[in-house]
Amino acid sequence: MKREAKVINVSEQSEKGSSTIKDVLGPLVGMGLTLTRMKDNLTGKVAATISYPEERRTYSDRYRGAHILTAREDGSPRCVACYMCATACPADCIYIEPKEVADPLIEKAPARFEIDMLRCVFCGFCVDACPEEAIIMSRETEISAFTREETIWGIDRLMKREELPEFGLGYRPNQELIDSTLAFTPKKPEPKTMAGRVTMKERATKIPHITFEPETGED
Amino acid sequence: MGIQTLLEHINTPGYETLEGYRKYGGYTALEKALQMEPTALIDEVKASGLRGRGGAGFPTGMKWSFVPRNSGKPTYLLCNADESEPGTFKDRLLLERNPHALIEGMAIAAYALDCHLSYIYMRGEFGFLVEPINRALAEARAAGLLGPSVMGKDFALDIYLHLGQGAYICGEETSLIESLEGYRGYPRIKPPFPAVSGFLASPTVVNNVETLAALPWIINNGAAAYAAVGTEKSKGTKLFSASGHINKPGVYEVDLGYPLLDFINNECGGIPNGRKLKAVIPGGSSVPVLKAEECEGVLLDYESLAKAGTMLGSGGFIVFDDTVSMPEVLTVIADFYAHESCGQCTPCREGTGWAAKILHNLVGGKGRKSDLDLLLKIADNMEGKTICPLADADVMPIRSFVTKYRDEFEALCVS
Amino acid sequence: MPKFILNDQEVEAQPGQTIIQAAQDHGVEIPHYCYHADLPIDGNCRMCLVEVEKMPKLTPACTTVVSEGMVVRSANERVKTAVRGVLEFLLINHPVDCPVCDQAGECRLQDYYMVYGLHTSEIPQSLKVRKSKAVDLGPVMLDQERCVECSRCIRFFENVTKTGELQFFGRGDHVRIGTIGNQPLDNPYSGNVAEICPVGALTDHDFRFKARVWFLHSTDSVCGGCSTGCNMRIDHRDGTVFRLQARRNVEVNRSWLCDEGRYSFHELEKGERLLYPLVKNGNGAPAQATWDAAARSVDVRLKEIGANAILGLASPSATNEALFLFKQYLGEQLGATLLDFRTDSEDRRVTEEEDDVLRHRDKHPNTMGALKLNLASAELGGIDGAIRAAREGRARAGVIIYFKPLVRREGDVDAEAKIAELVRSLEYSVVLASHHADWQQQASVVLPVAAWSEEDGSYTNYQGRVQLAAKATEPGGDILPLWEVFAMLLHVSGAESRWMTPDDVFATMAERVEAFQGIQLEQRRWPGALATA
Repeated sequence: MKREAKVINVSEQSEKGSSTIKDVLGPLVGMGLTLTRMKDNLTGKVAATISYPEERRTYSDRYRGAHILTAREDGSPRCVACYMCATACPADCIYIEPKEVADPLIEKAPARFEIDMLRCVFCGFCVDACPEEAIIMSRETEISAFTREETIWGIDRLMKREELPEFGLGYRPNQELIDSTLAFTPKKPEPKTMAGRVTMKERATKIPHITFEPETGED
Repeated sequence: MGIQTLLEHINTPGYETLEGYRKYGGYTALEKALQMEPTALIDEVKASGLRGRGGAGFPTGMKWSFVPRNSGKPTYLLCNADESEPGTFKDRLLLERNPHALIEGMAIAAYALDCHLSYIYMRGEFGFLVEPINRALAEARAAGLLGPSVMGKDFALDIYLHLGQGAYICGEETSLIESLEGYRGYPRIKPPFPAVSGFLASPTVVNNVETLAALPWIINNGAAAYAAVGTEKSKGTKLFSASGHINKPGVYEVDLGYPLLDFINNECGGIPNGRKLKAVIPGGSSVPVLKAEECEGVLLDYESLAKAGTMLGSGGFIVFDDTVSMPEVLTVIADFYAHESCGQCTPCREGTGWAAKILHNLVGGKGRKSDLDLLLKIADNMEGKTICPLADADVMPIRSFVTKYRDEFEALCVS
Repeated sequence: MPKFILNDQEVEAQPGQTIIQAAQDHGVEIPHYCYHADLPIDGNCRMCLVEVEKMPKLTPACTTVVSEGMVVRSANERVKTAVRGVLEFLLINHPVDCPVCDQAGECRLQDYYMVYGLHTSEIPQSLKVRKSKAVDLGPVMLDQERCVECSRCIRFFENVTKTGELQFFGRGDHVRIGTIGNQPLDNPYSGNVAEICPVGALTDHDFRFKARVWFLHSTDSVCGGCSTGCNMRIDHRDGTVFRLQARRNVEVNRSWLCDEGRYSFHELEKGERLLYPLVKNGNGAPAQATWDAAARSVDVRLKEIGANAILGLASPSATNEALFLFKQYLGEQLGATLLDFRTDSEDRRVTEEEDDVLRHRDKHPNTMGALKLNLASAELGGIDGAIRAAREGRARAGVIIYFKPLVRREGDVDAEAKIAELVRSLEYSVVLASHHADWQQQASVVLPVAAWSEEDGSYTNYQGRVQLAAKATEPGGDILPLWEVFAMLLHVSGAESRWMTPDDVFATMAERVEAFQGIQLEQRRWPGALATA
């Protein structure tokens, strides 16, 4: 596929739209908007910040969060231990140990598949490199732990950790998975009442899908 | 139709026995040949203009003259009776009804080539002929026509029958040799040519049954008489195995240069039920097909058929009337080559199978228009890139069918 | 010497050379699968088609002999189209299972696809011909679907080992290779077929799924398994040897390795390694020591005992350089005369063939080198003489080098038992070894030395060919290469010892030892230099 960049000629554009009235009025309109936002901010109608962790943003569908290993129909990992992700990984954070599988049509599967989440730079190269749609990413960002060992995630954790359903799928080659399935059932994100501290904004009482993104149309 | 050199007595009962064969002048040619110098014999065959009747049409005398004399190794004469070209069944008739003509021809050729051991390599499906041929060989041996002293002369010759296991590829001379030696029937890389290093790494001549069986008549009647028949470059007679939509299918001995349409309408009794001629494959399944309109004025000889864009081949003459679906015909042909490819060279091994799969898809109602160009591309990629001509034999029908009957193929495509 | 024109350049070929060979000599690679320099030509893959002027069809470069004035083009559009066509044919029934295939990364199908192919597959997966996968043939794994039917493996067994285990079955696009009834290969050279397979049809069972090849680093070396001295490549990563691959040397091993040699590196992984010098203290218990302290104590003790009562038992598995310094220290510096290296009849077996392909009966890589250095003492007469001398009290101290044999034979246990016996019989013994063994507890000093693949050095094979065995991996602990130990002993002993590398040692050796005179350092690398008789 050939791609062409859209060319915009800036000087032409500015000449076309230039007029004295606009030159004078433009800044005034801008000033008006600034003052409106200032009023909204002061009265607490909108805020640039949110109260994390009670409030959370919804990330884009292509967000590169913690990894997910996808599954075959029988629930075993889709991964064939080809090392493509480990080869592509700029942080050298993927460790794989292969094993033989009896089915000659699969032949190879990972005995160990570990990602060191502390070393990972979440570049998504592993997803790009995977020939099997075996590794995709989630929108999960909360990977902190109390020990270093806990930040090295093995096959089980990468395939079906409890938190995952809430965050949903992130960066992946296909919108709908084609070759693989998931070892967990992603939840339809459901607003739930926030426990603990009360904020001044009504909408913010729901987690984790408080959003300020324009496409939601709420703001 | 003129002289009948091979089929004159073919329907005479008892002609397949030595007694019957001798009643009509059998083995007089061998007697005559044994009094000639071997080199003179080769010159005689050269003068007759006899060309290899197996398909390639290489001048027989010339082939013999390539055999080095005094190479210090024995020379072998092998008779190629591995007749497996679809549409061809002439050798079978000769082996069945006229075996002594072949034995006499082989003895003459062996004498000319200074060969003392000779084999008939017969295809596995001709198992029912093993017993009759061996009987004929035994008769000849008992009568002193084979053995340590052929016809009392200082010339030893024995001929053995070897049965192949039914592989089309073993009709190719180098794989025939390979198979006879006991190996897998894979064609060899040429050079060296068999005339220099063939069977058991010795000089070897491989001739078709029809070629060898034509020799007694040539020696008896003289090269000039044989050369007088036919055209300037295609001399003598040729057996055609006529089949398909004709009223009288069978083996016909035709003077080379006989008009193709006359052959269909007169000899073969025309097309049944008054239907129209659609296409002709004149030389066996591996030659390009001729459309009905292309048959106008074409003569049955090497040059005229070549001019029409096809070949005389082995004379497997297949006639199609207008009820025939050409894609289906091509699928059958492609299946044959996919099945018979020996699997040695990549283009043929993979290409023949691939083409057959595409055609099956097409005929099965799953074809795409782009498949036709893909078929032609496969044909291009196969042509002239293999050790033996089997790939080319698949290419020729594919290319001619798809280009000449493209509308029929396109009509089958669903996308 | 016929001259011909190759891609518009006039080049010269050796008489009788085919186009593919001549082109290779001039750095032009013509793609191929079936052609192999050490196998008979078959011409079946049709990848090497080139255009030769005056020939109507493209001709295979592997079967066409160069003739004077021939005009060959191997890279024009016509040739490229043909090669692309053949490649497409090879791939239509290929399963394209590169992710699980061990050949990936060194697969000719991948390589040529990137150069010539880059096409999209026009055949749906469902129409591909299915054959057997993951067939266990013992030393190799067979995947018939990945096979390009180039017959290299078949020709190897037919012409090199002359055993003919593998054969084609079926025909057309159903043709496949295999053994009758999938019987495992029982052949001491089976590993070669996995190596010469240009695709992933035959892969090494031992290396199966161990590593992806692009992670491996290669070091050119020489096998330490027997006196043949086969040239090989050590593929290793992070200090671990993963596999050994043959390196072509027409004078020695052509392109082959025996299985014993190919998998000999596993012998090094067995058993415990010695990591630190151990010197027996006053109580008779071995204690860890520094190299300096160990060397000084050895030198002092040996000098105390005196030259006449010292015997030295070297090893035919040690490098030329180590053996030379062994002799320098014990013979020249201390003046000992009882020096030998034989634990068996190595000097006789060194040229005895085990079969007519590669292997020799002497399972040491450097017996010839020890012989060239005159280490076989008639006075001592091998290990049996040494044991006698120790028992009779003629020898009180001994310096003994012992390497575990990489390729095992029945006599090895006896040989090791004799060394143990010798150590037991001596009053003071210094053992230099790479691996731990129980009998070493009897020794007064045990010094840890580098094993094969851990040190640079040269071996002299049965022909007298001096070849470089290179260091691929770093030994652990305080392990030192053997030459360095003797260089250190020479130094603490007060002799001049200025060698910094094994190359320095060899240079000195080439000056002082007649058999090695005139051998240049670089010559040892490839194809090896012959020592004089």
